[in-house]
Amino acid sequence: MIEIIDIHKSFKTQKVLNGVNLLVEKGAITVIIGGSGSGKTVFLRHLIGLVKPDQGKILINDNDITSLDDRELNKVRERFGMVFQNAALFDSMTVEDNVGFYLNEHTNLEKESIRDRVSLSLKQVGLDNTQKKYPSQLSGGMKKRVGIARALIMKPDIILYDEPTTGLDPITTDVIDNLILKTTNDIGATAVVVSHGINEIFKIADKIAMLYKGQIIAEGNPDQIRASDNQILQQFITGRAEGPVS
Amino acid sequence: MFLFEKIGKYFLSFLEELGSIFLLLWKSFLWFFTPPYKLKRIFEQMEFVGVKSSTLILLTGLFTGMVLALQTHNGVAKFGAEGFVGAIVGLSMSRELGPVLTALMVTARVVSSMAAELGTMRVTEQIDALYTLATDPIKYLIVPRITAGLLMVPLLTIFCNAAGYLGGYFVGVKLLGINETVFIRNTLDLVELSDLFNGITKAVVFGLVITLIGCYKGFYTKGGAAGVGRATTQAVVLASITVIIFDYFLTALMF
Repeated sequence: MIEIIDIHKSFKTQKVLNGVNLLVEKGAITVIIGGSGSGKTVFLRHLIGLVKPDQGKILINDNDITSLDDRELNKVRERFGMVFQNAALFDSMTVEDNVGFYLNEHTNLEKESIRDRVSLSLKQVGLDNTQKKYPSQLSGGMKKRVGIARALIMKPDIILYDEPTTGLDPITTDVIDNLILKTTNDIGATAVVVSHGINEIFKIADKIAMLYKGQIIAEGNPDQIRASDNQILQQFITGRAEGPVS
Repeated sequence: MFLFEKIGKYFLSFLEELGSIFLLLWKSFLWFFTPPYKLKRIFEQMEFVGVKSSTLILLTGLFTGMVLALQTHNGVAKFGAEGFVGAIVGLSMSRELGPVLTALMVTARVVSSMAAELGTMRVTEQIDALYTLATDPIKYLIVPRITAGLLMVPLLTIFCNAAGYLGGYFVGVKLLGINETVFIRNTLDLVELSDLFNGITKAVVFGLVITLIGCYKGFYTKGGAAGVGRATTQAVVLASITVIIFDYFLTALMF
């Protein structure tokens, strides 16, 4: 379980998060929604210690990660997987080395065994036989899937997805959504997904939270969110130009 | 008032940048001694910094030695002191030109590439990805680069010196007809081991400073492709000027 308590964050004079409180349930998929520039990615980066809050606490199984130093944070990060918006694959490495990076760096497994695990991980995302390719030879959707395979190979307890389907065609979007559902269920992980895609949100979410002007203004399960009378939330999920958000 | 404000602002940002560079150096130092030790990455960087720069350094040293011999001969021949051409080439190369030119060439070839590569990794979130894979990017990316600079710039300097002596010998003895025995004896008499040693000490400092600057500028790049371009230019300019400035102070201290 992740408990986010009163997180504040500013960059120079710009206040991005202004007292965010949220409970992320264990084993569930929590989707964070909100307009562009609402601070969703900054919020997500707080959960894995890439950004430190100016104020507030992030408790992971009752352990506050905001007070940890680099080395302690690295220990905590071993339980996390993160899929970046643009995949963030290491472009000087092959797909195999990208996916096997964690095992190569942090375990004493034999090369053969790492190769098998990489192959299995790539199979899970439907991308076997791409091991020797470089990221520049892959399409956007394939890169995202390799990014997911790289995160899954760590067998993480918590997976963070930063806009996993932005910029992809509808079919690939559905493939990725199914993958998020399947892999989260398969390994019983907790997932936090930042997303814009309305169909996706209602398909995969156990819980939805809307971030607006640096605060969570609504949260609940998909049915509660659909039934909410919050005007800002309704404008967002119905995708209208007219409304309180202009 | 506005002028003072502006000067103060520049001064503060200079101090802030200097502090960040030292902090990066300190963190790199700590990570260097933290296991696990992955020598493979250090060797890869040593190959990139050292082996792959060797042709460039060979040509730099050779032609610098040759032109030095030519110019010196033109000057000292008027006083009948052609016999000292070798010694002058030897002293100039060992004390100054070997370490300085090597550092400048490594800046052009290696430091620019380090800043561009790390900068690209920063703006494409690859450095953040390293953090999320429980890998500290300072240990993974910066420690091998600085270590390689520290070890390979002195070695390249020795190589540059040797090429310079050869170039000087070739022009002085073979082309200009200076007596070979006099040329070599004067060189051995006047160029001391301490000249070589002090030049190499300079190269150690240069190797550390230029790779640190390249890594710093790349690692903290902001702002997309334009940011990477800016970081690369700043790294090359700052590293080059630092070599020239440090050279004066190191010379004042050592010779």
